[in-house]
Amino acid sequence: MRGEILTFRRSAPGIALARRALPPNVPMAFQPDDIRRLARLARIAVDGGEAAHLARELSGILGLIDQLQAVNTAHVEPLAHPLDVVMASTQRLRDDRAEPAIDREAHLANAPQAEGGLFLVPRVLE
Amino acid sequence: MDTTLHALSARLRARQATAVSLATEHLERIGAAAPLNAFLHVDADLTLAQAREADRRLAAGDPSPLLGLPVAHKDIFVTRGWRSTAGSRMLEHYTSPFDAAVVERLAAAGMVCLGKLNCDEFAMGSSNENSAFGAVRNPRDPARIPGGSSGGSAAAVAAGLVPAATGTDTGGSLRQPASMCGITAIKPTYGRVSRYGMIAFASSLDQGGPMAHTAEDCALLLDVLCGFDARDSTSIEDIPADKAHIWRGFQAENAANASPGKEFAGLTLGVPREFLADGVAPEVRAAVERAIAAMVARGARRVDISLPRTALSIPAYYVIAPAEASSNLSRFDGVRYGHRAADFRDLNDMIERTRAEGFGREVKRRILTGAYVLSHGYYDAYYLQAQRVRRLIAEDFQAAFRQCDLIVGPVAPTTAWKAGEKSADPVAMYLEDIFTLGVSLAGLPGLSVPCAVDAGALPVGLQVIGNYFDEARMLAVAHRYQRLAEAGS
Amino acid sequence: MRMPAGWEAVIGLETHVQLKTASKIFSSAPTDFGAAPNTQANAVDLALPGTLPVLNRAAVECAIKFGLAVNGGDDRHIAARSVFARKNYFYPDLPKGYQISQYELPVVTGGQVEIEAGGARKTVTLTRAHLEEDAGKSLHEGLDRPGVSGIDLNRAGTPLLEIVTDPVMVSAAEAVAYARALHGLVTWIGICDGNMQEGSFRCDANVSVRRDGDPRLGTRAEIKNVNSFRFLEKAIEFEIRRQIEVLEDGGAVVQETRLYDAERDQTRSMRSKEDAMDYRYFPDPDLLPVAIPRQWVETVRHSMGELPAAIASRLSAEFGLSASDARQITQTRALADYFFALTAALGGGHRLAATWLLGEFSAALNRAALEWQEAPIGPTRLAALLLRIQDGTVSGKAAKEVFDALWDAEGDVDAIIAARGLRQVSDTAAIERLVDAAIAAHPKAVEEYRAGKDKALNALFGQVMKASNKTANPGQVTELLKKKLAG
Repeated sequence: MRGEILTFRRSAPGIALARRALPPNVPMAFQPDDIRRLARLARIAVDGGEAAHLARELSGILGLIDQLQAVNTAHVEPLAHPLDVVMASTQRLRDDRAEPAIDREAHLANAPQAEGGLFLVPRVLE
Repeated sequence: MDTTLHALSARLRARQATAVSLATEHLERIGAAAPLNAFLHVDADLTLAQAREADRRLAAGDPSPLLGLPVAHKDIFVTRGWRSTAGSRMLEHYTSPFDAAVVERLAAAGMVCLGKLNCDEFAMGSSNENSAFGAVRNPRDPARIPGGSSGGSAAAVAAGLVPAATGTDTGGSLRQPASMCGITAIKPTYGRVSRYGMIAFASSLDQGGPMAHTAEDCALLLDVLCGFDARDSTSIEDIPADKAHIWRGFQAENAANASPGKEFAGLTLGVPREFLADGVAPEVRAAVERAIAAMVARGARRVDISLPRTALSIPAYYVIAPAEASSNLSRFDGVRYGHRAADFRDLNDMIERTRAEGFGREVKRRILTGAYVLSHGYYDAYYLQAQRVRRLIAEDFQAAFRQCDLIVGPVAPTTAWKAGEKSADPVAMYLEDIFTLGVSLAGLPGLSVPCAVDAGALPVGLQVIGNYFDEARMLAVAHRYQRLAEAGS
Repeated sequence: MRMPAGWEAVIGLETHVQLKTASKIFSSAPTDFGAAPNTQANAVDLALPGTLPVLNRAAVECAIKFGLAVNGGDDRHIAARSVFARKNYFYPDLPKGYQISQYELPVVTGGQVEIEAGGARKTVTLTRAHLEEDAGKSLHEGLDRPGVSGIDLNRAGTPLLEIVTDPVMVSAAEAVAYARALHGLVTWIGICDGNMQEGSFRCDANVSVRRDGDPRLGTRAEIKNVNSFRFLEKAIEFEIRRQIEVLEDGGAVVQETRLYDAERDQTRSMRSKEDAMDYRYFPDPDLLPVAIPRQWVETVRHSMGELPAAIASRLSAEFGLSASDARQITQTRALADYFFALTAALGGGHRLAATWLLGEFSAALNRAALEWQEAPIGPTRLAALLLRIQDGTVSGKAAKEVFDALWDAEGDVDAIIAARGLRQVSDTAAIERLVDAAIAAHPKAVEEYRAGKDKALNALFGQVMKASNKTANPGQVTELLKKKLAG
């Protein structure tokens, strides 16, 4: 399966690296059940055929991102905000002033279902 | 006919045209170019109302340089009036109660909005084949993709439907379509353009920017687009004074480098060997080499540099961007706005079906990938590791900038490919982003300026990468290169 | 409740304290309670596409205040750099599909709260206190359609401080004492209005049990959203009993979330989730790390005034109050304010004031289910009464009768004393007559006393006091009795 993902019409420098990380004939990293578990976590309904298809595709993507495992990052701080490399940026703070003007009707106009100022959903079970 | 903002502005000021006549002219072209599928929503009434207002301001002697000129927005920016869909079924009928900061700023400058431009769904894609409302065609060759995700913007500008457009760039989405459609676009330093009202894909990477025919037009637009916005916590407030004004900086740079034949004197261009390695289409490589040589012939110095982790930018990006996207797109649950499935058993089923129906395949792939790399037991190995590699990549760029002023190379390994050619293979598509992702991960500014066409008359873009806040210089260099190319052609 | 022999309970509390700010933590929408649905939720709170969070300075300041208050004013537990993270889960009243909270670098780490339960003092150590946003509400009643719920997002984005203790409490009484002390503290420093009915102060309890001496912690259950101290106590007691029963029957406690049902006085399992929660925490890329420079902490410290713990030590050191009295006086700001108003009016008398407030007055408030701020007798009127004790006008015993009359609003102190004839008699001659009469009337008691039965004196003393309508100066009565009987 993984070999299929690596069939490229044109090559790019990334591909050589990707090839090294993906020996041929490795079993698929994701099975349809894994996809169903992830899909539940992400609240996306998937049917059987879709799960199988996504399992193949995500296995290919996993092969790509698994290249990261080969990088030695000991003593490297994660970079969450790009400009942290050059400037220490910190969160700006807002003054505590309330702005009461809220156009509820404009907000509710986009709702799939609304009543009495509320967004309606199928019954929530606690 | 010259369709740059610069030229159109001259026509307005010379009273050879009005904002209303320009808007009408362009709306007609948009109507005639429907097969390109560049526009998602046009509303002549809204446009003409803005045009009439611009004409009033023109008559009153308002000197704003962009006043009365047409523009259109990538449909990832929310707008009052025009629908805001993000190219997704999920938001097919959504109207925002507010305008994005980018939209506000251009409107305040007097630009007249022609409508909303097609894009890959939630800006996820490199070919504009991921729009729920159909693929966009490349005006240079309708059988080919225009690039993505700001493909509608690039195609519209290239086809003359609008002289300028906004786009966004998360991993190359301004630069790559500009390259493939033969126009100019710049992704500014992360934090320079407010993300308020930009429908989020990957918050730590997303950055809006202008697309137009020339670097000069981009400089005019970027001058208005840049600026601190208290509504975006990542908007940068304290930009070094000498870098704060784009247009002023752009003019100063050009004035200082005006002597004929020495337009690039004193400029050191770094050429990363990884950007011209095997795998780059020979014609692309040759075009970029010719462009560099032309600048060297006029005073620039070339140094060969290395960005050793160029290939690693692909896996780092395809961990970070999906992780952030999976979370950013959780708000689309069918509760408060957007699509809601018609049939469901219960609340949970409603949410799952809504998302299954509302999102396209690429979006689902990225949401699931993102959920995976953030999930328990994998976070350190993928997400944190990617953020560490991200720092290494950013540091590589800083090391490179100790050797050169600007980095130049190709935008993409190839010119525009045929529609459908890579649709079945997401990873193959991801690999095409190799030269744009590093810049995005590092938050650096990068632009694309047309430098050649290949044997099939398909455009090739030259990428110019600057250090943080160096947009004015990058645009000025691109501008002088463009003048040179015009004179040479 | 007595703990069943051979078992011990381990309890930790997580308290959600709603912060008293004018606007929300990440948006400028107002935070007023009880407004019409969705009129206090703006585009940010609704998570409309394109909206972004911007942090409210006042919310961070509240967290800093708390960090100072639980560390005796020391700033060492307040992070210099604090980070917001996304907690990802789907719920219809959670608009973004994630809650902005804190994971790795909360504003406050560590700290302690002193409590007193069952007469013993204890220090409850805190794990952390972090800022986060509240969710909205799902409403199920009063809708015209069947099978639907309504979502009101007014509360969404309201700032919360989640305060987590170490698992150090061993009984429901300790947990309640902690919750009360924490409630007193957060209202004292003004970061929370403390209104439990409106959900401003909500407790979750993590409860587990283990055999005496077992060093391992048992499996815990989390009891959610208990909105009164009384229910907290009952819920924990029920849960302890339930877990012991399960284990004694050879079963196993399941790690789960349980809801307390006040009507039935029991906890019940919440609908079990399909799969274990995986919140996929990661730093929120829309927000930058929050810098909390020491200078800011200093400014906040100065704005806070004296902290209750400091006031308590001062009350002990300067005025000789017992440590326990001093801590109780400073448990709530309302009581402490009352105390200081009272002693100011009295011009001293701190110990007398403490004795009265913690004794007679507290008992009366409890009986009437009133809080200090609702007390029917103000500090000036109480001071008038205590002055009459100090100057010997009334005896302590008579003063209690005056107090009851004051409570029932029968007029001012002196008028009540006069009307009820409670003025203390210190006239030696008058007292002597009563003493003589008592000695004459009770020869048997006199005989017993002289035979060495000291207790017999009490009977004679009681007779004199009764005859004087409680007004005779007790010291003088005792003195005279002893003198006469010795003579």
